[in-house]
Formats: sequence, structure tokens, C-alpha cells
Amino acid sequence: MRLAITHETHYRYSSDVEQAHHVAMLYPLSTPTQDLMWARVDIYPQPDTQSESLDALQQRRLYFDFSQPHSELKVVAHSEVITRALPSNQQGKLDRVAIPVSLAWTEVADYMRYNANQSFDGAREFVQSSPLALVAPVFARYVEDLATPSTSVFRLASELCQRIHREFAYAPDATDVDTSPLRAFELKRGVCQDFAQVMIASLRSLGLAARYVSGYLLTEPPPGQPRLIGADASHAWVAVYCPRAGWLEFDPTNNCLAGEGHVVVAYGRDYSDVPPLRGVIRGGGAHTLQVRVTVMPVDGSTTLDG
Amino acid sequence: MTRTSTPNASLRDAIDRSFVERLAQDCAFAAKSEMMFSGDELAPHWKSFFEQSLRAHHGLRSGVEAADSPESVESFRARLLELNATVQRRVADNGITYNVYSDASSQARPWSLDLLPMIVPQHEWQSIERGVLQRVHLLNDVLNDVYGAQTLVKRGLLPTAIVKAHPRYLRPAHGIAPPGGTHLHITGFDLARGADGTWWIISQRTDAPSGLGYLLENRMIVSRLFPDAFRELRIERVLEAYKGLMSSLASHSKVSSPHIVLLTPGPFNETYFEHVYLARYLGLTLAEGGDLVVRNERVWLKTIKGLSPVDVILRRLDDDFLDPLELRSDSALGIPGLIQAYRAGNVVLANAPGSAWLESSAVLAFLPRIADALYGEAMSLPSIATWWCGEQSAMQSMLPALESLVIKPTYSDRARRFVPVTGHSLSERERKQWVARIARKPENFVAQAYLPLSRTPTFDTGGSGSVLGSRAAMLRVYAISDGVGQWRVLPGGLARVAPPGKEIVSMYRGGSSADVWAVTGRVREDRAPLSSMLTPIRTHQSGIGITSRAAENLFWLGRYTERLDNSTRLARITLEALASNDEGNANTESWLSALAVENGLVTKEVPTMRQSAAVFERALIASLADRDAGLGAYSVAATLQTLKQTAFAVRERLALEQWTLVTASEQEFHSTFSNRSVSSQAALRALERLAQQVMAMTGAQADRMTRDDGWRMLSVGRQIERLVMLSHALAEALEANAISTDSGFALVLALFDSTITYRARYLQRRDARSLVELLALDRDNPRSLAWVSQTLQSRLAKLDNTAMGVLPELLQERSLPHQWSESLIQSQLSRGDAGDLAPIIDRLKSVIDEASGLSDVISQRYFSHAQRTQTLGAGSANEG
Repeated sequence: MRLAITHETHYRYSSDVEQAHHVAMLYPLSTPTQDLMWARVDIYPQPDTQSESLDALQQRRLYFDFSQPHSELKVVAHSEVITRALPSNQQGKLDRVAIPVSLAWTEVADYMRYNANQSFDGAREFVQSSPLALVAPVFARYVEDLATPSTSVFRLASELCQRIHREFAYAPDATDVDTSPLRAFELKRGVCQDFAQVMIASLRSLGLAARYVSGYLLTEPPPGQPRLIGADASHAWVAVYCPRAGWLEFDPTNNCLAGEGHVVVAYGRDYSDVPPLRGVIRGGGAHTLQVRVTVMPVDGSTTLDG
Repeated sequence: MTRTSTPNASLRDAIDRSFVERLAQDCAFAAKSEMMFSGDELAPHWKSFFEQSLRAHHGLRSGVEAADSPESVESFRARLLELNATVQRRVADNGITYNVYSDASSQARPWSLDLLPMIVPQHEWQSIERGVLQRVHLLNDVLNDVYGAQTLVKRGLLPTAIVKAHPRYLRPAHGIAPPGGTHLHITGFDLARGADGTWWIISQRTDAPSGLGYLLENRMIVSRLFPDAFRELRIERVLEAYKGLMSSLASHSKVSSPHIVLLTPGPFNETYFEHVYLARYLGLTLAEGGDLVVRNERVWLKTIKGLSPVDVILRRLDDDFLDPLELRSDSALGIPGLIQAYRAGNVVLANAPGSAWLESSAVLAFLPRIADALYGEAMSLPSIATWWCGEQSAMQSMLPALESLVIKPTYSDRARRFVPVTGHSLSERERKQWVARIARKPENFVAQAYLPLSRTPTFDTGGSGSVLGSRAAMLRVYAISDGVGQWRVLPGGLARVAPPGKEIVSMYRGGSSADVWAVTGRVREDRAPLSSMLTPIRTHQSGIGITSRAAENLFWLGRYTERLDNSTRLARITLEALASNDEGNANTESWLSALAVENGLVTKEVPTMRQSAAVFERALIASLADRDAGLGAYSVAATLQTLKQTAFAVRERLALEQWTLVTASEQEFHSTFSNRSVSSQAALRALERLAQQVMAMTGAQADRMTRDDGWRMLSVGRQIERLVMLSHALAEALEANAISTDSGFALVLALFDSTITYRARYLQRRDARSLVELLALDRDNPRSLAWVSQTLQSRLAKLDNTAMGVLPELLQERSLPHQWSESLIQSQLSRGDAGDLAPIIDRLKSVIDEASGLSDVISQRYFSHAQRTQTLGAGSANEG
């Protein structure tokens, strides 16, 4: 599906910001299931310096800074991507989805462990704790009963994903960007980012590799209503690694696999590796933040299956 | 004093026989040092050390021959005791400290230094040197690889889990090549010596190793106490290595004569003393994160003359705190955008960020394989046997042998919660628990062979008298970059010595240190005198203004010093007035009461002197000692406390005695009042004593400080404070007509410290006109307002003659006492009666506003306005 995305982030400061440094990760990726057609990031006011580099996973990041006083910052990312649909038997709610080829999770955990003669696999860096996905005993207990030794890694992840979807309440005000999965876990509330990080920490507690996916989700307006501009959201979900099959992407917020409505912007160990826009400002007083995301199918879009 | 190169035969005999026996006897009290003895024989370098020291000792007295008398050992021991006292005194005199966070009082603690050096003989040193050079090359290559091509991880030579999963592997540094490919400019290696004389690497300090300042201090103190032994043993000097470091840092910069700063976390860091010391000695600007700013991918220093470019940062701040934008977002110590400037190649960071993960003990287990794969070499100076439990085969072979191992954490442990566990100290049950704990999360643990530490000789002045003993010790040596792709080993080191009876060596946990004498074999003849003073090896870059932070602190140091001076004087005058038997004058009393409130001696709720002299006095005395201003008044002790904090923040610019004066007077004043009920007389004595100390402080500020912009800032602060205080006091005195009585008149003069001047000039006359003339208009009396404002103007003019020179004009617009037209004032005063004082009083009051306004302008113009930064991480409000 061809999707056009607009992601606008607008800060308004109660007093002037004297100095600001920012890093944005707002360009969607090209992946085996997603082609980036074009992308552009507009910044207002004009930064003093702007420069692009690649992060540790070769993803584009944009640095910019200001040393002139400014009272607002508006960053607008525009892009178009073509996403590939999942096979029809993998679409829909997770309880109806099965992927036949999948190793037992114990075999995968063994594979993740170091020994001197193994061949390299980049997935191994996603097994240990990271700043916002600390491996802790509570997560091991949370996933314990699902982890019988012969359970396939797909099945395990799928059931964990369903469990989180079932047991956690979606509550935008319960948490913020720095909330640890431990806290979200206690609350059993949060947003997509929290659900993703709880799931990541649980999988890692078993010795599995899991990573955080930052991106967008195409949402369908209620039947009979027009699509609202800016009503969509930036989104986050989870990729779990299975040798041979590669990274399997689960969306605990929506209880499904990531499909053609999911647009990948960046992968990381957790949110802290890939926030869409971060900054350190001097001055500014209090600020208000408005984020508007629009994900819109482009007319006459073609799908990429096959 | 005789100085021949071969010792007299009788002396040698004395050392061989009685001395060694006595030493061995001494050591029997404690434990014998393997470093000093081999078997019953004194090691040759120690023999030489004692020969030289003895000879110098006896040479000073009655000639070499005296050495064979049996008393000589006793007298030599007495001599060592003297020298030991000298060491302790010098440590105190030089103000060498080590802050310990765990200490509840959070006071800086004196550095602990042993009298005897650790002497490393030539064959041992040469193997250390060779091994350290090989190792630093290897570590630097490892860093280039893991932040670049990553072949080591891809080939399985390093596990992903100890590199990329290590919290100190800095992902934002990935793909950045530091200038010259040099990640490591200063690397510390902790070595332990086995009983057989083999040295082993125990740990590596690759982030921002401490010790180079303490090492210098130790060397300065100890080498001078044994100058002959130092020369005869051909100990290599360390200064070249420091010079080498400076030129190496410069050679890595794109700029031909780069501006180098030393980045410190600030005065609360445990090793802040040596940051100050090194910055002074190396001729670097000492900067905190808030002093630096990144613009256009370059680093700049905020100075009172504007932004000045910075090319090299020698950092003592942990790497993950360097940049809140890309690294730890909770770091208030870092510089936003610094990593981007580094990425752009515009700044040399020494060490390059991202090297701290190499400090993990787990790394040691993999270095032999890497050295073999990269160089086809074995490690010439091996690490102590180390296993990373995350490697299954290693874990399985090692767990049964836990008893002979030490368990350490794989990942960094900044909070030092994890004290290494020695297997043999565990019970059977505890050992089983540890095995289970390791098996649950094996990659979190490292096991190392347990090596009983070799003992270095120490001179212990313990309970049973002074003896030559020995204590477990580790040696820290340093590899220092020496141009691109080159390193040298600093010839010397820092020995860290365990407390008596302990096997764990840690400055943090109460050990001490010793100077390290390396016999390198490179020194042929050394006739150069041992210097007693360090002259900076690099003159401070001229033309770079002082940092805005230092300027601000100095300004406030000036204000607080003056405030302390004034409030001490006011408190004395008030207490004296209360104590005098004179029938109080209502005007005077109301004036003093108002001043006491205005100057923070009592709160305004306290009854005035007139209402209740006793209550007023009690409140005044109670507030004097109230350090935290808990009673609501901001009196003498509170000012002194703030003064101390301000001085502490700018300690790098103060002479040691200035700082000592502040802390000593603070302590003394406080201790006087530790007793609950202090009489008026005792309070007066304490204030008099404090007044003398304040005079010494201001004297030191006037005499001991270079007349640079920093001093001018301090002076400006003092003049502004004085202007505000005295204008107010005079205006109130005139308004309250406090000068109508002899005693009131005398009090005003006393407050202005102008009693003698007045008498000399006006004899017995007593009128408002003379008073205003002397205290407000006179330009020669340093206590007069005109003198103060005139001085202020000239300081500001000098401060400003470079960049932002608008302050003098600003002053012109203000009505300050030295600009008042004297004739105008005279005419108002000529009629002589109090009713006409109103215009003068108004003028005086306007000075208070003018001075405060000026203070604001200066602050706007020069200071850094360290507004707190905020971190933004967008996306939360509308996330799915």
C-alpha cells in the first residue's frame, strides 16, 4: 500500500529558548517489507546548523541546533512509503494467526548465548538489558507459564503479546516517555511504548532477542466518517528474533502482527535509542507540545505482494 | 656532608648486620614485605635506599663512622619518624584532599600518603613497561574496531554481550573515528605483584583515570625527603611524561596551538583536588560542563570576554555524562551537542567517549585471543586469570573452583554496590547460593583467580610505636599518548596501599598511597636538583578571559566577604552598645535596631533594643551562630557558610591559604557557639577574632591575587556590597538623627571604620556636615562612599576595556557619590541643622538602588546565567 505520512511536532515555549540542540529520527526506513519513496523534514525556525548522520544500525538521524532565541519549534516530517501486506493467513487478531516454521524458544535462547566458535549474528545485541527495558525477575515470572521448553518462539511471543493486550489498559496519561517498563508493569496501564517495552523486557528475561520498533500506524476512520488530518499517532511495537525466520514483528497494542498499515521509522533496543525528536534546551520556561500525525493511503496505490 | 658514590665500608657493614636484623625484627611485628626482602636478604635496591638515607642522616650529624654504633638504627628510626611527620604536614599544607561521598559529613578528607616509596627494580619495571605498551596499543585497536568495522565481534573474539550490551558501550559514538585514531590518551593499569615477583594486570582504567595529580604531589613530597637515595637509585623523573601528554594532545588537534581545557564534574567530585592541581600545573583552563557550549558543531568556552573556541578537552567527567542530548539525558554536568562536535571532528576528547566498557573485568578474559589474532603475540604482561561466566565452557570449568576465585560484576558498577566477593571467605552455603546466582544470569559475572597481594614496606606509627611494616598494595601505572599511534609509560605510578590487616586496596574504602620509584635503566646521572615547587609546564593561554562561572563566583565571593566584614562589625558595635552602661538614646537605638534587621542580624519580629534590650540581645547572639539561617535571620555564621561555599566553587583561583583561612575561621566561629548559652562577652570575643580573620582574608585578596579580571570581579563585588551597606547605614543614621548624641555619632564612625580618620581631621567637632564630608564625599578615605564608587568605576573601566565596553557609560548615567557635585551638597549642608538633611538622605537612598541596578547589569553582561536545561523527548502526547 502506498502511504503518505505527515508528522508534525510543535513546541511552544512560554519564554524564549536561548539555545537548543536536537536530534530527530523521522525518516522511515527501507526494509524488505517497506520501500521509502521520499522523505523530507522541515524545521521552523531555520536552525543554525543541520547535519545528518547514521546511527549504529545505519539509520538516518538529523542533528540541528539553535543559538538564537526562539519561542517555538516546529518540525514537520513528510514521506511516502510503499508497504507490503502480510500473507492473508497472518492478518487479523493474533489468536487466529500461526506461523508454522519456528524454533523452540529454548533453542533460540541457546543460540543467543556466546560461544567462541559460533558465527556472527547481529541480533545478539538485543538480548541484554537496555536503559528502558531492564531485565528483571518480575518479567521472567510474567512469562514463565507460557515458556514450556518446547513452545515455539513464535507461539511464545504471540501468547505474551495477547496477554499484554488483554491485561494492560490503554491510558495515555498514566505514563510518559521515561516510564520504565517496571513501572508500567506495576500499573498495568500505559501506551504503545510501554506495552512494547514490557514485552521486550519479558522476552529478554528468557534470553531471547527483542527490539523496539518506532513507526506509524494507519488507522481506519469509523465507518461513514471522513479521515481526520492529524488524528493518527506515532506508534511502537516489538520485533522478536527467530533464527532463519528473522525478526517477527508483534503489535501488543493492537494484538496483531505488524502488517501493511505499520510503517517502520527506526529500530532500537528501546525508545531511548530512537525517539522521533529529542532535544536539550536552555531557557524556554514551560512548554506546550502538539503532535499531529497523518497516515493516508495515496490514491491508486499499488500493493507490493508477490 | 660526604657524598661519595660507594658507601663507606663500615656503613655497609652496619646495614648488613645490625640494621637488617633490626628491620627484620621490626617487620616481625607486622608482616615482612616481599618487596623489600628476598628471604632474609634485603633486596639490593632497598639496601641502597637505606645506605643513602642513613648516610645523609649521619652525614648531617657526625659523619659516616657513626653508623656502626648500635644506637644508629634507633636514631635512624627517630629520623624516619620525623620525616613521616613532615609528610603528614606537607599533605596538610598543600591542602591535598580526597572527597568521600560515603562520608556523612561529606567533608574533604586529607590525602593519605606513606613515607616510604614503593621501589620497582629495573627488571620488574622493564617487563611492566613492555607489557603496558603492548596492552595500550591493543586496547586502542580494540576500540577502533568496535566503533568501526566490528570484526572482533563478528569473528567471535569478543562476545556481543560484553561490548554492545555493556551500558558503557556508547552507541552514538559508533562510526566516529577520533582524531589520529587515538581513543586512549591516558590509561591506568592496576597491577598486583605475586610473591615470586611477577606482576599481573588486575584491572584497566580506560575512561577518565584519576591519580595523575596525586602522583605528582606524592613525588614532590617523598623524593625531597630522600634526595640522595633518589639520585643514587637513578629513579627516572616523571615530568617529561606530563609534557609529552600536552604535546601529544596538541598534535591530535587540527589547530596549531590549540586551546585545551580540563573538564571537571565540579567541586563535589571525589578527586576535585587533583583536577584543580593538574589544571594549574598543565596550564589548562579548568571548566565545568556549564562553562562550555556547542555552536555550529564547535565547542566554546564562555568567558567574560565572550566565547572562546576550545580545541581539546581533557576530561575527568565520565563519558556517559558528557552530552545530555545523545548520552545520559539526566546529566546536568555535560555539554549538549558535544558528541556532534566530536563527530564533526572539531574537538579532541581525551579519552575519546566510549572507552569505559573496557574497564569490565570480563574484557580481560578475551585479550589473549585478540592479541593472538591481531598481532600473533601473547600478552607480555598477562592479566590475572579471568573467566567470563557468560561463556558456558568457562563457567562450567570455573564454578567448582569458586573457593579460589574472586567474583566481580561484568557491567559497570558506578555506585560501587558490588564489593568483589572472595570465594574463600564464603561459607559452604553462601558458595552454593553464589553458584546458583551465577547460573541464573551468568553473563553478569566474572571470576578471577585470587592473588594474595604482595606487601610494600610501610613505616607504621601505630600503637606499639613506630615500626617498619608492610601492607598489601597495588600499583597503578599510566600509559600516556605520545603523538599519533604512540604511547609511553609514565615512569612511576601511584601505589595504593591497604589499611593495616586488610587485603582490599581502595582509596575509597580507607587505604593510603605511596610514591612509586621506577628504576627504568634510562637515567645515567642525575644531578638536577629536586624542585620544591612545580612551575606550570605550559603557560596559561593568554588572551582567554576567565570563565563566566569563575567571574560570577568571584563577584559573589567579593560581596560575601564584604558582607561578612560589615555584619561582623555591625554585630560588634551593637553588642558593645548593649553592654555599655550608658543610658541608651532612643534615636541611636532605633537606628541600630533597624540596621540589625536590614543586615540580617535579627528578624523584624524581634522587639527593638528600645522595647527590650535583653530579648534583642539574646536574639542577636542566637542568630550569630545560626549557619542555616533556621531562625530566619541571615547573620554572621550564615554569611560565613555561604562565603565558604562560594570560595569552594572557585577554589581553583584562590591561593591555598585563602581557602584555609575561610575554612579555619568558619570552624572556629562555629565551635565557639557550639555551647548553647553564649554570653555577650564571649560573643564579642568571637566576633573580634573573626574580624581579624576577615581582615586577613581581605588582605590576602588584596596582596596575594594577581590583578587580573578575576580579581577585578572580586573587587567590584566588594565595592558594590560596601556601597549598598554603607549608603543605607548613613541614610538611616541621618534620618533617625542617630548622630545627635556623642555615642551615636561615635557609632556611625565606628561602623564606617573611620573613627581615627575623623578625629585626625576634625578633632572634637561633631556635626552632620563634617560627617557627610568624610563618609560620603571624601575621595581619599577608603571607607567613604565617593572613594568606593570611584574605585568601582575604575575597576569596571579596566574590566571592560576590551569587548563590551559600555559599562562606564552606564555608570555615567547613574548618580554615584563620586559624581555628586560637592558644592551642591555643601550648600545644602551649610546651614547645619538636621532639617535640611532630607535631600542628602534621598541621594544616599538612591545610591542603594543604583548599586543594586549595577549589580544586575554586571550579572546580565558577564555571567553565564546557568539557566537549567530541559530535556525534550517528543512524541508522548500522541503516541499509540
